[in-house]
Amino acid sequence: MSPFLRKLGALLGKDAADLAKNPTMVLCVALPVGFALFYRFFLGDMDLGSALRDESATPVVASAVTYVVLSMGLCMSIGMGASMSLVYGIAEEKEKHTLRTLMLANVTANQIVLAKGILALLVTVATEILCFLVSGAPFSLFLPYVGFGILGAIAIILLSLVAGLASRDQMTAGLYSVPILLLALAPIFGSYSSDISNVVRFAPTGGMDALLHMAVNGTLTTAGAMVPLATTVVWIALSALCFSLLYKRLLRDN
Amino acid sequence: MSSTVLSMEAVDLSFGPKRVLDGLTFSVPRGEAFGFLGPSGAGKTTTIKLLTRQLTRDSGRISLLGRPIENATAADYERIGILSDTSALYDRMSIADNLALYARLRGISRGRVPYLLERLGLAKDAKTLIKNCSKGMRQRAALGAALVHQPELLFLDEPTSGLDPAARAEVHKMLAELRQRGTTVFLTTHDMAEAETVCQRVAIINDGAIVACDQPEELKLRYARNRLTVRTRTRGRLELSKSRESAQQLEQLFAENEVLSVHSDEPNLEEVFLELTGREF
Repeated sequence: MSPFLRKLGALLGKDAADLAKNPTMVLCVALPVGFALFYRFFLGDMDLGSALRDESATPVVASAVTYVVLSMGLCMSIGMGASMSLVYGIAEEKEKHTLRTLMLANVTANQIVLAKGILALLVTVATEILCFLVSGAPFSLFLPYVGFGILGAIAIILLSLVAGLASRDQMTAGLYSVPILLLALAPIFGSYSSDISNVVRFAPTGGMDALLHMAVNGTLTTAGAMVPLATTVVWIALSALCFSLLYKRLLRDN
Repeated sequence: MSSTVLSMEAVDLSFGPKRVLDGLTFSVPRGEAFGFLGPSGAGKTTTIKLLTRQLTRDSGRISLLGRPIENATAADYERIGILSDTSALYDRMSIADNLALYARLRGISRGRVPYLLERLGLAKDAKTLIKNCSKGMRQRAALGAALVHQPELLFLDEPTSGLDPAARAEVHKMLAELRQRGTTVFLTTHDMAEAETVCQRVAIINDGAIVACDQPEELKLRYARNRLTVRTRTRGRLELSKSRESAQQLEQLFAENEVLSVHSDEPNLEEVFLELTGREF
């Protein structure tokens, strides 16, 4: 095994073990699953179709509930799993000097950042899958759901890496993680009004959410997917550009 | 293979208008334990940071493992171990798991971990989480992480700060063994006794410049005050120089049964430093 892969593997193992023992991070992962479970039964039990005295509305309402639960699961998984774990994780390592100690042991910044990015993606996908499993959504949606989730997570992970490297300590991490968390959760706020919805569909996770909406409603077509896909790709490109521009500078400052 | 493992030649470094290193020049041959002594803010840690590429010099030449530091490769850095003043391990992992992590990062079998734990006096605390360790235990564990791959060149920045005398003696014994096996040690310390115990040569740095560099014994002889302190029955405490006249005076005192005690006033490194710089540690 090459030294690069050996070190990457060691860092991934360390980060995973550390995350599993960190109560804050465990809560970040558990919260989206808990919310998905809560919303499934809370909204499902209201039986809105019957309440409207229109039995034919029930499948439509069920579909809407499925979308709300899945959308919230995706956005929260990305917001909590990817952004919080990354920003706080890197900031904690900087604050406690473990990052510097690693680098003095001939571990490069690239290896550290890559390991943290990969783990954040894995944690996000695992949380998304757990949210899906408790949502009660039809299994036919599983693959598109996970695929859209991965697409939506990439931009947030790149932005979170920048915010983590920019944070001096966990206090500043708290400040820097808020806008990223809001960006990740933006589609949830879209349900409040159509005006907000028109704005948040251009958020980093907005494209992902629109694709999910179409998949749940059975209206996912190549033509319809173009705009949300383009939105997601543009955000990934912008985040990658931001990361590449700031990465070396942040390393030098650190 | 070059016998000089580490060298600096006319190295300058400034932080803004403040010059922190001024024409630093020294070299360390393979297998030597070299002490870098000085008061806080003298430039000790800055020098280690330059040697470990955490900082870049303004001018001068630095050579590491026989090649200019700018040409040093990742493979060269695999031959180096560093315990910095801020070295820290993972709070939520045990001492043994932390050492196993560093063993894996260095491509070393984790079979070496129990040996290190034993040598550092941490065997019975192997499963203790770092967050529950005392400062001394943390320091020993961090030293273990720096030693896990048996480096050829070891940078130690205040390695025994926070350790009790027994643990300090154990670390000194370990360093002596490492040196016997050919490991080159670059050590910064405030502890003059430690420098005398561990190092074959020491450099004293003050205000970013080396003011003396030699074997501890040589430095002590060079800056010895050559005085005898004599306690007498009726004349109090007398300070005599080590001269023929003083010998006669001492003989006279003995003849008069005046002498209570005679002490040779041997200098230590701290006094050498005071002599050279006029500063307290």
